[in-house]
Amino acid sequence: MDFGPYLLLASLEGAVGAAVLALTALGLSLVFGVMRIVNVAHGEFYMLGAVIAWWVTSMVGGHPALGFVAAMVVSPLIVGIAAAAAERLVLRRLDYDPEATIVATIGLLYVIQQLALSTYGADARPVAAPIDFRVQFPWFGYSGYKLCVIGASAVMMLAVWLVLTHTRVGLMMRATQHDPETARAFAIPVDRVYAGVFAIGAMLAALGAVLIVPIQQAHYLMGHDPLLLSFIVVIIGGLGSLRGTVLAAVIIGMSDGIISVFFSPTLAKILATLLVAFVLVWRPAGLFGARPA
Amino acid sequence: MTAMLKVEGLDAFYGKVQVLHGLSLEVDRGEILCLLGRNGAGKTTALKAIMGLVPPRAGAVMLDGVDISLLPPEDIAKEGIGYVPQGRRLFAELTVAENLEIGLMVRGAPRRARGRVLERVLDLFPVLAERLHQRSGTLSGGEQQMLAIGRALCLEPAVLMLDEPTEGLMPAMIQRIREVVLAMRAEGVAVLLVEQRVEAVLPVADRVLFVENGRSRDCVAASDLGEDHALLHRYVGVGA
Repeated sequence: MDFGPYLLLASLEGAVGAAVLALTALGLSLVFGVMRIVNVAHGEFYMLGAVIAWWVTSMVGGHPALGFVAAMVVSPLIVGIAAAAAERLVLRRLDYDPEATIVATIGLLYVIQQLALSTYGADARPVAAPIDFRVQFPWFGYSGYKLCVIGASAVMMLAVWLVLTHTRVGLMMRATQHDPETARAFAIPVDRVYAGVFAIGAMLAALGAVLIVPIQQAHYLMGHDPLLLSFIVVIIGGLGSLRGTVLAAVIIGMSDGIISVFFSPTLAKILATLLVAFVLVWRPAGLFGARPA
Repeated sequence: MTAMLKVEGLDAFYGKVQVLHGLSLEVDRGEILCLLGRNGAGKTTALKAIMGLVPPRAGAVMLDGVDISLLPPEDIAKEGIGYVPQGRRLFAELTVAENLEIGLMVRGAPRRARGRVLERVLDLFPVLAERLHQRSGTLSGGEQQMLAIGRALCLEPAVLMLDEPTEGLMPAMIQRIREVVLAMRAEGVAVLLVEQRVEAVLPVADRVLFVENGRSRDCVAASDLGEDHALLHRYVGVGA
């Protein structure tokens, strides 16, 4: 294959990775932005989403699309409820202390991971793609499902943006982000906003996982890479900046895909981590983060 | 008739440090009570304790005869207390319209009623109407203060609490804010005003309550204060 088509293939792979990464990182960014909490267990919510998706699709018979649609609904729902429970039972009792919540979410990471290992097992299990068609380019055929993943992710991110900017709930979330005390003085139920944001953040990770699971198999250790890459994206994009998060996800996801195809996945991770180091040196607040006054 | 806002024996702490020691005050409908005292006397904490932001450990906050001191903080504003915090505390990244919307959401009034309230607030502060879609952090200091007051008025408060609203503003702005506060009094709103500077208080206040070390001390009519320099000297340290 010539270089041009090869690059196109690599870019498509990169775009799929970027789409899922953007969704996952958006969840992490939202939680960090509004609650000022570093959620180390974010990758495990992603893994949980994939495992539940496998479980749901294997329970629902008939056409694969049926099971997949059910997984799209059930998996984020269960993950959201689990996250809200964790918020109530753990984070809230720590009073959202920045350091304590890091340690607590590390604990949560292992609890979820080991629960998955002891119930789901150590196997990697595939989920059938809901649609099965190939888009034929002049040089190669490409999975139609993968192209749909890019579209679905874009639609969901648009939905998050619309909720944040055009609804009352979104206004409450943004007000809480800027000044929780004053938000409380204006009757905004900050506690419920926190629980909701933590649940939504986890649900975005779960949605990303459901989209990826027909491409990558569900496995109890699959949360590591998304966590690392999400952190990289959130740091490069600027803490709390959704626009920066999406843009950084595209940069990191695309370069991860392209470098993985041409060279090796390890080199891709090395370069991404190096990029974080440089961003932290020259623009500590990230590309789009507000600079401290 | 009971007072609109009656605070009795309020104790409040920051961690282990007691800031309020049995503070009491009373504001009637259509009255402006000013809390006057030195820096750190507990004036701001008194307002925060009324809002539930610093939960009072003892005492009662009676709003129109109902004790609201046990309500969760996010329910207190709904009872009709509009709060203009010290330093304005706008949601700086949000637009002017969004800041006002947050005030309008408090009472959960129907859409049409909210439109009417918003119109009234914009009549009081026409400059805000021109800047509805501007980020509030980019407004001038005076405009920000107007927005902070406008946001509180959007919940149609029965009690309006302002914490040093004229701090650092130009005389023309101070005059405008004074007029709005007097207009609220004329409509029967109970106004609780915190100030440090005597000259900002005397033209508007009906009564002045001196606060010292978290305790309420003498309470006098503002008109009597002109002659009685001893009180001012004792509590604020001005010989005026």
